[in-house]
Amino acid sequence: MLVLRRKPGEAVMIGDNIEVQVLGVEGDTVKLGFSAPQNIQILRKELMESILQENLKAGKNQLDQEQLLHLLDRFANGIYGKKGC
Amino acid sequence: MNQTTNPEAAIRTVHSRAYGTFHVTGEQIYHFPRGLVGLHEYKDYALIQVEGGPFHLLHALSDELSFILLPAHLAIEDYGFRIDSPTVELLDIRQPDEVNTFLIVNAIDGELFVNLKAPILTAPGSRRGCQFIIDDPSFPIRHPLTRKEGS
Repeated sequence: MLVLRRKPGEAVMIGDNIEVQVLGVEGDTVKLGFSAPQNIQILRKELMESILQENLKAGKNQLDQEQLLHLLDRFANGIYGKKGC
Repeated sequence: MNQTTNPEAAIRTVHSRAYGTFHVTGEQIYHFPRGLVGLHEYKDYALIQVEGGPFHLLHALSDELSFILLPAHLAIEDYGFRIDSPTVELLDIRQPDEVNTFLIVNAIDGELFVNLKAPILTAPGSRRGCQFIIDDPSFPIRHPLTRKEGS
């Protein structure tokens, strides 16, 4: 991991077209500004992590999938029952 | 990049331990250029409507990886978000009605939830798909799936 010290107003470049600027420091919070091409998605890491964990839970756990099937049956019967078809 | 999948591919068979065996046509096969979040190695899926119900199965062609999807409009009313231009390009669409929005269904402790934060978008025209992340804290990852009463 590369470690750099930067002051507010200073920036780093990642490759030719991604710029990360330190906008300010307030207490224990660092405010960062990002400039990047549109096709680069910038997200908080914990958001990515939580979606990843939810994907794994939904997609890979066999036991959960059996439980899921059972619940789906109940759900589908419920909504179709109410619609009367 | 458009050569990565052959849309007229012959019928394939998908074996799923949980859901059984499905025969799929080329029209049911979708290419996800970016995969799903955290699962980037799986890029090709079959999208199959589960018989007799509103649910769809999104099953990886290469592995035992599958997701139950529900069309978003059946799960929640007034679900809307803006798709950014890289995603529009990825899906190769021109109009909003060229894309279908599905929610991933999850079971936790005997209850059903849908992921509103990261829906699955599919474009039948291009047979491409992606998982789109909505960077807005008001969209939860776990939204309780409840039956619509009287609608």
